[in-house]
Order: sequence, then C-alpha cells, then structure tokens
Amino acid sequence: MCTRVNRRDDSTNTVVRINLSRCIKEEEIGLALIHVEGLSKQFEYYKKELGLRNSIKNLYHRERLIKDAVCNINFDIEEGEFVGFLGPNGAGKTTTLKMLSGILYPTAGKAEVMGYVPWERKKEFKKQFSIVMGQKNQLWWDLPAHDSFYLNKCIYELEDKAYQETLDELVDLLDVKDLLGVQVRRLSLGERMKMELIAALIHRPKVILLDEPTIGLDIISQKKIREFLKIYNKEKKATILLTSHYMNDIEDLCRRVVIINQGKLAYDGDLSHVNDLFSQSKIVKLNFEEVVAEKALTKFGTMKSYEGLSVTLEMDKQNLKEKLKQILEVLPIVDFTIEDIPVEEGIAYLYQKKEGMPDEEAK
Amino acid sequence: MKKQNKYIETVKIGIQSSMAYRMNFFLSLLSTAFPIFIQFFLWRAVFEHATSETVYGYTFPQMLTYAVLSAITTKLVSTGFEYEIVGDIKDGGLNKFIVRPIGYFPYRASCFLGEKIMQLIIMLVVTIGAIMGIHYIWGLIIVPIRVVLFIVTILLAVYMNFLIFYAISAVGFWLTEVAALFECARILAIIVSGGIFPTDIFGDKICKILNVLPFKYTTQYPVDLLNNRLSYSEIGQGMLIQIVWIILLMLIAQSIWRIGMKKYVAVGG
Repeated sequence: MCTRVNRRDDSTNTVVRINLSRCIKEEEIGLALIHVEGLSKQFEYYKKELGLRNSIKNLYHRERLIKDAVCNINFDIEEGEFVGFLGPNGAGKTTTLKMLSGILYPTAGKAEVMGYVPWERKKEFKKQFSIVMGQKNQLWWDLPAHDSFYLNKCIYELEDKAYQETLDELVDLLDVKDLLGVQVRRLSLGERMKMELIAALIHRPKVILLDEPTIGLDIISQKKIREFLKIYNKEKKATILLTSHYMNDIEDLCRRVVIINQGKLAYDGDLSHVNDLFSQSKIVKLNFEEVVAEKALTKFGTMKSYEGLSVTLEMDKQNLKEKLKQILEVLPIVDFTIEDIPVEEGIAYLYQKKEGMPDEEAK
Repeated sequence: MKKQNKYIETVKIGIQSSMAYRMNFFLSLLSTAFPIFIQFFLWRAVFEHATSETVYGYTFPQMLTYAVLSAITTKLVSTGFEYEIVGDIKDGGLNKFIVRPIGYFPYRASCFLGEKIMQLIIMLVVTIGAIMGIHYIWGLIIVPIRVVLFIVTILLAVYMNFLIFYAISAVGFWLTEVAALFECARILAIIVSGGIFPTDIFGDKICKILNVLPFKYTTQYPVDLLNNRLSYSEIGQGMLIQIVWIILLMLIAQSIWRIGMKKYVAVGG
C-alpha cells in the first residue's frame, strides 16, 4: 500500500505523483467513479492590517499565514449519481472542484476521477469530463456561440456525425436554436449559461462538475436548466457533482448531498436525512377552535409562531406522542400536522457551525 | 490531420476577431503616420546643423527612408495579446485550457497568426507602396530579391516578437498590475530594436551588445536589408541569428511559463 506524503513545497511534487499513480494500479478494481481520500489544500497568504503605517511595514515585513481551504475530505461518488455539493461561501467547494478537474494540485491526499488522477491532466481524462463555472465564461466572447461549439468539436476531436447529433439534441433540449448565430457578448445571462452548458457537454462527458450553473438567473431560466440537467443525467447516465446556493436546484436534482464547512466534511448522505444528524425535534402546527393563551402552549415546546387560532410549535421528538395526547385532550384542537424541520434549516445549521463534525460522525 | 484541425480552426477564429475590430486596425495604421512627420522635422533640423553630409553614416534621404520603413516594420511585428494573456492568468481564463485537450502556447500562437494574417497582407501592400514612393522621392534603389528576403525576415521577426512578448506576458503570474511594466517593455523594445532611429546612434559599444540581442533583428535588420545597407553575407548572418534566437526564445518562454504554471496550479485561478 502507498503511504501518504504531506507535501509542503513544489520540488517534491513528482515524488507524490509517482506514489499516487502507483496507488491507482493497486486499487484500480472496485473503485467509485469519483474517489476522494484525505484531500487537502492549503493556501499561503499575507496578512495586512488596516492603515498606512501597516502598509509601509508590509513593504519590509510580511506575516505569512496559511489557510486550510480544504482539509482532509473523503467521499465516493458512483456512476450516474447526481450529488449536491453544498457549503457556505468560502467553504472550499470551488477549491475541491478545481482539484477534481486538475486545475489545482492538492497539498495532500488523493483523488481519482474515472481512474485518472485529475492533476496529471491526461488527455483521455480531459476528453471525458467537463467543468462549468457559472461565474466564468468558457465561450469566445466576440464570436457567435456556434463558432465556439465548432472550435470545441475540433479541440475534443469529435467526429462530424457525433458532433452534429449531440449539438442538435442539446440545442433542442435547451431551446436556443435561434440564438446560435448571435455574438456571445450580446446574449442575456440565461442564454449565455445555456450556451456554456452546450459547450461543456458537446463531447458527452461522463463526469460533469457544475459550479453554480444557475447563479444570477431568473426563476424560469433556473427551472429550464434544472430540467435539462435532470434529463441529461438520466439519459446519459452522466455523473454530476453540483454546487449551488439555490435550495430549489438541490432539492429538485440531488438525492444525496455532500456538505462541507470551513474546508471540512460536515455531512454526506441523503438530503432528506440531513436533519436526523442533529435535530431532535419536529414542527407541529395546530389549529384551534378558539384562541388559546400563549402560556398554555409553551410548556409543550418552543413557540415558532403564534397567530391566535393557528400556532406552530417546535417539539422534542422524545415523548412527542405523550405530549400530543395531552394537547388533544386539554386544548380545543380542530386540526394538526406534524412535519420535519425544513431541510434548508438543517443545512443552514450545518453552515453556521463553527467546526465541521468529526469524520466518523458524518459517515 | 485531425489534431492540426483545432489549431487551424483557432487561426480562423483569429482572423474573424481581427475583422471584428478592423476600424481599430485602420486607426492604428493612421497613428503610425504621425511619428514619421515628427521624425521628418527632427532630422531636417539635425541635418541642417550637421557639419558633414552624413549623420551616423546616413544621408538625409536614407535617414528618412529608415524612419518610414522602421515605422511600418514596427507596426508589422507588433503584438497586442499581452493584456489578454495577463487577463487569462488573473481571471482564471487559463482554466479552460488546463481542462481541455488544447495547449495554451499553440492556441495563442495560432490565434496570433490568424489575427496577423490580414494585417500582414495589408501592411505588405502599404510597404510596397511606401518603397515605390521613396524610390521616386529619395531615390531608393529597389532590388526585387531583397524585397523577397525582406518578407521572409519579417515573418521570422513576427515570430520572434511573438515569443518575446509571450515570455514577458508571463509576469502576470507574479504581478497583478502590469500596465506600466508592459508600456516600458514595449517602448524599450521599440528603441533597442531600432524602431524609432537606427541603433547606430548609440555608439559602437552599445551597438555591439545590441547586435547579439534579439531586438534589433525584429526591426532594424529587415529595414537595413531593404534599405540596401547590408551585404548578402550580412543578410545570411542576420537570418541565422534570427533562427538561433527563435530557438532560444522558445526555450526561454517555455521554461518561464512552466514555472509560472506551477505557481498558478498551486494557488489556483
């Protein structure tokens, strides 16, 4: 077995890479399509305090600091999965995606995508995956999108027939036929994003990394792109890792989510079970015949909203039954519902936590 | 066959984008005319007060011929992708080249070639017009073989200048604000390549240094060739130096970029 090398400078780079490629050969069988193990990335930066004096001080003395952007992350993604990759701003999502696409070298750890080490940047690897960054454009600004697609065809060395088929299909799915000849800089944000997606998928990648593909789009465009991604994932059996700040995207597309916070893995599992991790309570909504005093209710749980006849309570899961029984007996109930805490709240809770959970717990 | 295809396509894209900004090109062409006027008055003043017929070995008509031809040549070999490259480095535009099966250097080179093709054709027509005009006004003797050699050396010079500025653009890996630096580099390169006046005026010592540096071979050398100031053996020698420098510059540019890319992938786009 291979040993992990903690690399601090670039000169030992090659050593690490040799080790890694040996690892692949040993473990090639039975690997997930995307396999991430102990992946870490540190950035160096310089500290500068406020003010002119510190600016001058910085000229001759700079304090060097190290930031752990990604810290010892592990996860596996199987073929055909559509996984949401979540975390607050600066959690390390983009850094992780950049490492998975080979743009960045990790400081430590390993990753394999389709059996390739991304940062070795093998041509065969590049031809089978794609990364879309919502905030960066990959199209040629001065040219119509169609020209960019054609250039991509040449870059990926696609056969004429396969290219035309894929293009027709994608153009049809995203409904942009009339816009193909328009200079990209004249397209709206939503239209451009659709073109970005076509450009990224023209070579039918098996693995797609999507970094905020719906950022800044209106609700209808978001929905269209979502529908498109859903169909693409299903029909092409493509494996997709998606980051987005729109919960709609995630709830609609991903059954499984990987959540990171401050560079550490905070959760990996079903979206619907996010709350089970920490939440010991349920949301109970009550409707009354006549107004009930607030005081009479707070002994059952925490008051979430109080609007006279309808009341929302957050109640402990333990002895929920007993308490509900009491409520039904004592209070003039017309109707009631029991719900889980919305998944957004669970995710927000994970975002706010100062320290990510230890790995064992997250698993 | 297939593999070349992507770079041929890039050349086409370069041509297309140069057409998109043709107005800009014609205006810049016009702007090269102004320095020639300044030079005319400057050299007239110099020659009026000169004690001999020649200044630095040039007669007044020869000097003016030099001024016109060097201004055109400077325009011919000029680059303009430096800011684009730095933009790519700064804003993560390089990412799309890292994740795709296409190299950045060949991409830039073919894009530059595409952008240059139209310019080269137009500028060569302008050059031929100019030497005809100079022939009638100041009596420049046109030697057809030299015109052909001029075109060959210009192509080499264009490639040399591409390499020089491709290497310089790599400073974008280390510095974020590069405008001043590029402006300095550009002006300095024009001066030491003889783009404003012949490098002969710097005196023997500096001339000897400039003779082994690449810059002179991007401008003064082709101009002197056309201007009948070089013997054929000197022309051959110059072309050899051009080729040697192209090889050296390729190696230099490549290693600078390799170091820069290492830094880039360490900190990310």
